[in-house]
Amino acid sequence: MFDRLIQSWNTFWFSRLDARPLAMFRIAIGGLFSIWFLFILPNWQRFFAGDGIVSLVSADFPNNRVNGPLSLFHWTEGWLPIEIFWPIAFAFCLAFTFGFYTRISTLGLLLMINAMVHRNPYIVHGEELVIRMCLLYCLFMDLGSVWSIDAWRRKQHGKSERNTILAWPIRMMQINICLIYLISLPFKFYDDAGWVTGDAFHWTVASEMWGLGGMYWITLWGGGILRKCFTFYTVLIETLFPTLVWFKPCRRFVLAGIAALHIGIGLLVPNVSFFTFSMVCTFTAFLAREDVDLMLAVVGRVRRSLLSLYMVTKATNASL
Amino acid sequence: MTTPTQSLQGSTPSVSLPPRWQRIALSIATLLIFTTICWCNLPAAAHQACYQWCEKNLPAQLNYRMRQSEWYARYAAHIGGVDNRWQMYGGQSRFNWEFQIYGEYGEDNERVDRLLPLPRQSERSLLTRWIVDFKEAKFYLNIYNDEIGRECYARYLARQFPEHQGKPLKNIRFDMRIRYILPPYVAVSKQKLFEDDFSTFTRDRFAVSQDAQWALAATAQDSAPAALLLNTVSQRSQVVEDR
Repeated sequence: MFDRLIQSWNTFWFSRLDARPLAMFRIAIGGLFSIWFLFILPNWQRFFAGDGIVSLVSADFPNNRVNGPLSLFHWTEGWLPIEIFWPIAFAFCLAFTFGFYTRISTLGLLLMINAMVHRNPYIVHGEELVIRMCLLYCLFMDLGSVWSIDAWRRKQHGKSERNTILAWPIRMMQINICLIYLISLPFKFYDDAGWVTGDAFHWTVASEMWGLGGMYWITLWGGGILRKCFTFYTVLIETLFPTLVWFKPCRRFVLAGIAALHIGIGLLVPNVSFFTFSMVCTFTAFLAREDVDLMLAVVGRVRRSLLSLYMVTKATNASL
Repeated sequence: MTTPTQSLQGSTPSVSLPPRWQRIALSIATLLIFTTICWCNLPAAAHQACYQWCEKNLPAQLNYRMRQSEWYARYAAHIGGVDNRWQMYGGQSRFNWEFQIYGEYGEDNERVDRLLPLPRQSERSLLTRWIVDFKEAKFYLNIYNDEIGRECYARYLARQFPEHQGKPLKNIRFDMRIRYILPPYVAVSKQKLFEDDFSTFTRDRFAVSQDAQWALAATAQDSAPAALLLNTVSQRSQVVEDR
């Protein structure tokens, strides 16, 4: 019994798994954060400079919450301008996305995100916390083993392909993502009775900061039946996802269900889009080899269909 | 039915395992990390209960060592970024609120109040609101309960808007505008979501004339010789280093 337990533990944590889902994760979250860095560029100085909203230059006003010593910006204050860090961070992000010197770019991106979080915690949102958590475990795996510039360079030099990754950092990421839901759900019930009665969506819809931008009919129509459906759907999928995602027959359904929830929130709710889309990116870490094979087969089929449609259209135009 | 260990990530995974010492080290690290994450996410009452139990039942020296070890574990978690407390639409607000931030210019007898041209309280294009201002809502939420954060922001605003109509800035005032949301069943019966009336009150008034004067002086020195400007920059850096 004990031997079987150890064997299961070793297989779960220390076997070697397909590298392609993690390459998808790298491309998805790297692409998302490339856009994020572009969005934050207009406010870079305002958010992170010493005379920005952190007000470090106000000598008579100490604020221990900002400019923590864990931030790279703290140690370079006064001799490196803050503006120099944006192109560095963006370059690390692009290198991470395309898998160029992947481990170094992972470390660089992690240092930049950490620097931003500890410099100005007042603007920290969920997406920074999610990517910071994931990048910590990404340091322990070769995210650039497939579908990357690193993989292409290895092939050019005649080196062997690396199609698998040690399971440990992937499992840590997966369990941490599940813990987000396992931890937040009980606090939801404890902090707001609306999640128990089915009325939580009412307060979300009505919120001008985090709400659905005027779609009040969701809570007002039909005696509130829609709002109860949305509330209970959220509770159900957040309860089922952390457990059922580990079982093959249910995995695709719960992944699709929770991705649909987050994509819907990301498209309809202002101010949380990057956080919800970053959660969707992390779900790629749960994909299995056969899921990736299926996705590639579907993409191939669609590409062939479009190509044949293009050829037919071209031939028809030529004959006319 | 396939087990979780066999089902996730495809068919039977490869069985080439790392060396034994590596497996033991990683297993211990796994247990430590998850224990820390769970500890950091317990409610504050649970932490207090543990501290009180230790104080009551353990020798003073051991209690001190336990508390010290707990602090080190929390700090390690903070460095690694695994001490996050996850909340997704947990306790939702029963009212809508917004800051209205004013600059108070001039002396009391000739005071001019100016609604500052800031995100979320001025006319902004759709592109600006969706792209440039995407962090503003979270920023305002984070300073909502943080007076020092609001003062930080007030001092920044003083440097950005040090004068208006020839009058120097004296104070930055944070007004709060609140409108209560009707409970679900009342809202459905009345077919509207909000109460009709807004309440407005002053949350804070920060005296920021010093920051405004400094900003005006720095602007004046911009037209001065370069050496004078460099002095100002190095003085600012020295101020930051001293802090």
